[in-house]
Amino acid sequence: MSADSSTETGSRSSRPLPVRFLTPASLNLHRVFEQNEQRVQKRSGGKIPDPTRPATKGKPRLLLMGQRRSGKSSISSVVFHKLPPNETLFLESTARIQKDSLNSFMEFQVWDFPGQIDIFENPAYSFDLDAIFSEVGALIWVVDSQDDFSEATHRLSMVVLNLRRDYPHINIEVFVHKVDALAEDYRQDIVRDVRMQIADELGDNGVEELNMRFHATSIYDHSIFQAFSKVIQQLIPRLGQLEAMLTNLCRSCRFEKAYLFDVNTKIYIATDSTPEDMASYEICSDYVDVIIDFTEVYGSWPRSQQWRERLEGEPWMQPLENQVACEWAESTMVLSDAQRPVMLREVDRFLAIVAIMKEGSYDKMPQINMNVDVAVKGLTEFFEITKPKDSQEVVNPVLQG
Amino acid sequence: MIQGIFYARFFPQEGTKIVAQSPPGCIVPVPSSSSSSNTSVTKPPLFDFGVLSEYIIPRQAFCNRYITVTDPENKYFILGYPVSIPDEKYDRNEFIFNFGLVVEADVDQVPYERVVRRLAVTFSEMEKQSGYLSQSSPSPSDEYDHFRRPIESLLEIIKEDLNNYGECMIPVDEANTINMKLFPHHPVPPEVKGWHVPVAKMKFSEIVDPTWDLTLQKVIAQIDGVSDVRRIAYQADVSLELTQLALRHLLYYDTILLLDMFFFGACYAPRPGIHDFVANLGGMVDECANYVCIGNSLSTSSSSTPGEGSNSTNPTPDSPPMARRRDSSSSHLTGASATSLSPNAARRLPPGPGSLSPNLTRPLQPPSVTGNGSSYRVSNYMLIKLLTTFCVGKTVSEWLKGHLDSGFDVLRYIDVRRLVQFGVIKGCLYRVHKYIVSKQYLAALATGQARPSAGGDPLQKYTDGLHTFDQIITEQNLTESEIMEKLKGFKAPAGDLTVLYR
Amino acid sequence: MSDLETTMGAAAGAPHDNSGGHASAAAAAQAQLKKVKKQKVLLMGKSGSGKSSMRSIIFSNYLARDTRRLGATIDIDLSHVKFLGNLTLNLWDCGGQEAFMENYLSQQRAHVFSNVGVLIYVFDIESRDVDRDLATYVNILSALVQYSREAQVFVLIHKMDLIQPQMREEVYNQRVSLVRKKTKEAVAIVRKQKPELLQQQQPPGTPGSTGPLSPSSSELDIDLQVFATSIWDQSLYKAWASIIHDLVPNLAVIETQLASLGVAIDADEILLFERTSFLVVSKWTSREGENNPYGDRFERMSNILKSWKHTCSKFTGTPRNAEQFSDFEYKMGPSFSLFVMKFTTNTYILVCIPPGEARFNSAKLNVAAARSWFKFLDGPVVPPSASSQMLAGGGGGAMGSYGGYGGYGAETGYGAPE
Repeated sequence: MSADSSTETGSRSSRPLPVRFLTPASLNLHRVFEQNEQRVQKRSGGKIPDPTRPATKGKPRLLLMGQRRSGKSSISSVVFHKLPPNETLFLESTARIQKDSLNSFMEFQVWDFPGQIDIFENPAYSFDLDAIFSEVGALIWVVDSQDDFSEATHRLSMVVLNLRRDYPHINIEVFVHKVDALAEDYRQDIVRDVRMQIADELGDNGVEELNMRFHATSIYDHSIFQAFSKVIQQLIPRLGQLEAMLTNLCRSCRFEKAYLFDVNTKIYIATDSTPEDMASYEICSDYVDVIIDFTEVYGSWPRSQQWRERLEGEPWMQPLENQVACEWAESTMVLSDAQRPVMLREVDRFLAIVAIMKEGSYDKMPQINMNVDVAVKGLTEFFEITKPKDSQEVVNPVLQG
Repeated sequence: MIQGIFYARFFPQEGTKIVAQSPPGCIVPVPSSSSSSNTSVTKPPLFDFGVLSEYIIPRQAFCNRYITVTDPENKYFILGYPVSIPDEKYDRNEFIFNFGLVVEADVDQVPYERVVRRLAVTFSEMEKQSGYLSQSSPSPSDEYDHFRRPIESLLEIIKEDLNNYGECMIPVDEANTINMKLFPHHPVPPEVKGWHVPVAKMKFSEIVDPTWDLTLQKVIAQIDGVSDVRRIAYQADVSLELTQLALRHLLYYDTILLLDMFFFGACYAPRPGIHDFVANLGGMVDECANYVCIGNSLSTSSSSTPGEGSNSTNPTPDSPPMARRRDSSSSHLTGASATSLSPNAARRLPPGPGSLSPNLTRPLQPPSVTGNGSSYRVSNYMLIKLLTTFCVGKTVSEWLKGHLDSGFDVLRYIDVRRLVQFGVIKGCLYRVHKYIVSKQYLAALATGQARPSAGGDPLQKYTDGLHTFDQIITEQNLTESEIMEKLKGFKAPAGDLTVLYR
Repeated sequence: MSDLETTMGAAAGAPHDNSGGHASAAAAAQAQLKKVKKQKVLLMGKSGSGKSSMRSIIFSNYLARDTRRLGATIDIDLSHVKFLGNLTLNLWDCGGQEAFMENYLSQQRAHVFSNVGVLIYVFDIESRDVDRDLATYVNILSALVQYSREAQVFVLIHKMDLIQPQMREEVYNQRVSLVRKKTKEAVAIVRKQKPELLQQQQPPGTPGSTGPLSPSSSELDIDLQVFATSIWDQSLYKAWASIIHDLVPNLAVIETQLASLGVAIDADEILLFERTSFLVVSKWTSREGENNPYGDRFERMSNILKSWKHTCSKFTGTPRNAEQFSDFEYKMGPSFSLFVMKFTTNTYILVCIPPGEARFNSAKLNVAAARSWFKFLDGPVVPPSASSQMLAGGGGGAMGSYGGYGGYGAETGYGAPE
């Protein structure tokens, strides 16, 4: 049926649409996103907003740039607004710089640049380059892998040439995007081609070292989240210590793999030192999804007073808060395959540890919970320490990392 | 006969549909837009398509294999090979079609299977290469008519050619030609032995062309109705095994007969078929007279040029069961051009008197009779008398002597070899073979001492009663009398060796 | 349908059983269990409307995106879906190509449309030729009414994901009113063409005792339920859960027992899922739980758990149909606690309870202990006599539906000579 739908609606998109399974929570959030977007567009009224509003000071910034229709808005909608990937078809192309502020464990901004605007050579507007780039943590350049990317690589090298003198510390991340339509084996070839083209272009202009990273991405699977995780991790101060803490936890609890997730975006900001693999990331990330969905369905409505009174009365005689062991969400789930448990534990409002355990460790859950308690305490302290005390004091967190 | 041929396709919207058929209306009624003007009443469909459509375009599990279905009334077989080509480019991920034939239920379907398979393979290849079938829009627009014509006419040509000529060769586009032939399905022919004598049933000189297999050509050149297989192999300079293979091939297509070697020292005896001869069923005796009487040259055609190697296609000496088989399976021979092969044409040739392999007769004909131009027709009585007097224990020469003694100069009027041949082919006579049995050798075999006398007589191995003298003669290159001489020289107790006739 | 026949025989025999009222009640219950064992479910609709896709997702654990690889259904694809221990769905997935449709309506008419328990008719919202779709629908419906008047009809307006979100409701409502109009037309047609059908619906040989519950012959109306569906979200689960809901035998028993379990462990909500499809078989909600603003939470849970199952299967590399997880615990601080666990062989249970460690642990133990109450879900066993009180309550309803089947069986008899 869906095959039909994609052919019948071919006018909208000619390529097949692999679609991640849609969670209801994301549907809901999508509605919120849409309303917000309409409101924003109405307010800005077609004008390009001044990109240097004082309010944005002090937050690391992610710039999303690339050719028209390369998928920038889709990426930010899917990652930061949980838009179901197949609904990105309905997105209209971005006409002005779209700014999103993200309040998470770390506050940062995502700026989505319209593809048609060339910020360096624009006769109509002159951009205050310093305002745009001075606080940039990373510049993400999106290349459409299904298109002829020579124009995109050319423009990227122009940007690199323009930036390298004044802002040499900007991390440049190239997302070779829409790889979902390519065969698995072919993806790395495309990435290599893009890399070589850029290297050639820069080489022609006398730049030898290629100071950027490449990621093959698609909004229809977890690769975009993984790529963003890598980007964000670059912006985290003292990432090494975080990783050491997780590695330690893994050793003491016999975890196979542990991730520290940003719950809202499903970006992982740290993991232990064992090799990373897509499969464990996927199950952990989907676990976060399930927990979010459960929370939304059963935790989002206020219980009545009688309910609370009854539960706090005989025979318990203590407030509900004291009846529970953990203030935040905690969850375990046992995979039938080899009886491997998977566990999740929220650190605070934004972060959660998700870990896959070795088989048979379900019996040791009490000890493991205690260990995790300690780790959570440690993490909380860590973020307390590394948190910028005042936005004015920290010039650029990237420099510290 | 192919009663109908059709091209069915599965459409994602409409379902299973007959896209083309021949003759029109044989599977599904033709839309009657033009039939009002067309006075000829179109025949009703051969069967109810609606009932059988799920076997014509079946579900996935049955696709890509040969499927035959009988219609509910048991009148027709529907032979098909539904093809499913999976590919994401197609709506619903697959393209399913079937080129099928309808034949009567009592017809041997085996020859048609290859046709059906070939159509399936050819068109699925063409579809995979160029989208030949799917490119043409299936929607009932003008494009449709454009599409419909070639396939419909293609089917018609295929049906007509296969029905009339047994083969077809139709260019479909620049790259593809449909080349098909109905190969009759024959039983596996018997082994060809070294002592067999192949006799041609048709004029090889007319059908052999240089494209034929070289060995086959060499072997065919040596078939003269007299030479045994071993001799043919020797003369053609071909190994015995290959010669046997080549002759077996010819045997498969029913172009030669295998007979025994003719010796005046051999015995023949009547078979029940002799009754037909006595009763002159179907003018058998007259046929015989035509064939065996010397100088009975009513026609001057082939006998006037004897020795030209003109083996006649005269089917007269066909053994009756063989002839019947040829009727049924509209015989088509390898490489034969369709016209020369049309079986009816061949059969209708009047039995050319004396035209059967005149060259065969020459070497054996007693010199006294050759060239005798008298047109004496031996009476039926005499022919019957001649044929019925063969009996077990009487060699041909003894038989001949008997008739000569009774005052009939057989050799003057009759070609004896031909008479015997006629008798054998028609099932009136059988060859009484001669075997030699050694009790000692048999006993040795029974006790497992199979080779009691290593380096002994080469003839010893033939003394188990399983080998005819013909075999000994050809394999040892000895004459019969030489064999008898040698056997007499056997160091064996008296009475150990026995000669058997059977 | 021989199943049905034998069951009728058993039911008729029940009154002769002299071993007392209790035994005969048990026998009747047993008969009822047997009777609904096989349900013929027709899945129809125009070609490419998504019938096989949804079937694959619900019953064969396909991912929505996998369904684009499916080929067209040729003719009718029969499958016997075991749903719980004692209910087998006889699912007739009917290829929707025009040629097939004509065939169903002509040659195979009696074969296809007799003894139908449920017709699921799928409309493709994106279809260009709506009039034609509706005409086919009317034909199918007329055939259904002719041969299986008791059948329930579910109409799914499918592929709603292809409509722009803000337009969905409007488009859907329009289509629903069209379908309802056409349904009335279909009934009217049958009433006009085959008035004798109404008389024959009252066969003299019906096991008369249950007569009053068979629908009065003067009205010939169709119990029509319409759903908007898409394979990309939970709407599919909502529709199918409703379809299944009415087919599950002993529903009343399940619900009663679920309620007593819920009260016993002080839960807020309990959902019972079928193991493979994760469709909600039954649910119970406390008074407090009724305040939950998410009315679509049941199908959401189906969707969430099923996609979670897929994730696990991808991670472990085990087949999708295999069991993937056994114990899912979630404690959301002082807000609520929840667990999902394997319940009986054929079911999973989801329990949402108020927060508290002690409460959580005892609830888990109690649910495990309650398993034996629900053993009958796994096979055609009469519910334990301990709950005979509840059984009696459910029994009345059962007898009612039973009467309906009486009429239906007689109709089969009538249809056969044709």
